[in-house]
Order: sequence, then C-alpha cells, then structure tokens
Amino acid sequence: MQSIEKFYPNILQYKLENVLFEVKGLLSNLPSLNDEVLFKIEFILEEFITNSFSHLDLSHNCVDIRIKLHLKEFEIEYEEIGVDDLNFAQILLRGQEKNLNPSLEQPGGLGLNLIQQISKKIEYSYNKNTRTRCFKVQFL
Amino acid sequence: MELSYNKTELHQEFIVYGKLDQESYGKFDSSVKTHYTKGLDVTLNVQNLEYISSVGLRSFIMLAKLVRSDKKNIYIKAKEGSMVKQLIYLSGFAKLMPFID
Repeated sequence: MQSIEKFYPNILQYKLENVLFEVKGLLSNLPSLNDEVLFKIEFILEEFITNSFSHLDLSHNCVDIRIKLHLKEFEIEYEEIGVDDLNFAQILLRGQEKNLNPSLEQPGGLGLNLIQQISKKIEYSYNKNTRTRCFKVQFL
Repeated sequence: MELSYNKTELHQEFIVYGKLDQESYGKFDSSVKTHYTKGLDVTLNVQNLEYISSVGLRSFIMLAKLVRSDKKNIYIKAKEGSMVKQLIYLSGFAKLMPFID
C-alpha cells in the first residue's frame, strides 16, 4: 500500500475517538516503516483531526475532511472543507513565541507548531470558492 | 497507556508505558490524581512511552501545575534520541520540567 485516502463527510456525524481509531488502524497496516516515520505520521494526523473536531462550530458548520497519505513522497495532505480561512503564519509565530517562553497555562496552537517542527516542510493554502483549507506536509 | 507509581520519603515517580493520546489521556489524568502525594518532588518517567500527542503533553503540563502549586519540582526521565523526548524538547516544556538521567 503506497497511499491512503479517507474522506469523512460532515464530521458532526462522527465521534473524534472513532475517526482516530479508524485512521490509526489503517496506519498499523502500512508496509514496514521505521518507528520514527510511523510516529510522525500518526502524530501529524492525530493533531490535524483533533484540531478539526475541536474548532468545529457545532451549531452551524458542516465540515468535511479529506486525508491523503502518500508514502512514496513522504507527504500528507489534509483538507478541511466548509471552513473559514485562517492566519496560518500568525499561528506558527505565536507557537514559536510560546516555545521560547513556555508557561503552565494551556498552550493553544501547540499541535500545529509541533507538526511544523518535526516536518521537513509544511504548506497551507485556502480555496475561497470551496472554502477549503489545505495543509500539505512533507514529513521526511 | 499504563501508569505505575513509586514513592519514597522524599520523592515520587510516575512511570508511563505505551501511548498517551486522545484515547488515553483521561486515564493518565485520573491515575495521576489518584496517586499524587502532596509535598514530594515528582519524576515523570517516559522512557517506556512509545507515543505522545499534544493532548498528552497538555496532561504533563496539568501535572506540572499541580506540582508547582505545591511548591515542589518536577523532572522528566526520557529515552535519549526518542521522538517522545524530542517532542517535549520542541514544545519548550523541558524548560518547565527539566530532563534528568
């Protein structure tokens, strides 16, 4: 298996735990990868999926998510469809500031910041027409 | 995730095994609350922790808050070169919970 693609339409109908369980189950069937690579893939996907669920506007939004994992290219593509744009650069900057001066308060933006730090490259784009956020992560 | 707990007169140690993620952090938090003893320094031993997500790191911060409110210190014991150690370092939390050998 060289790639995985999963699509979850209207994630309100799912439970976060179930989606994570299913996605992590798929990872356990991947061809032999070293522990560090598997750790990174699992971490990146868990952070994105958790973010999608925790930032949902439960009363209004109908959000779909699409996950693509391309093992040959060491790339993860994560799309959230039906959401507003975000200031990605600012989130990363805030995360970097928190790393320099960590506090015991609950840190926001931690997951995205750590994804950036353990990856080779992360790109963000937003499609206004389809209201889609796309994160492309090169994890090795 | 499994957690074991050791205590001496001056010190307590939490040893974490397995995976600390969205699925297991609740169990970690409640086990810590059950065992935590006031007035002792804490070592969080993650040498046997295979995986951690940001939710697990947040649980560590909750424990650190508890220890600090008690005016005690918390330290982390992690396996050299592991991804878990790398993430704790990258998150900046090693400044709040220094690594020990």
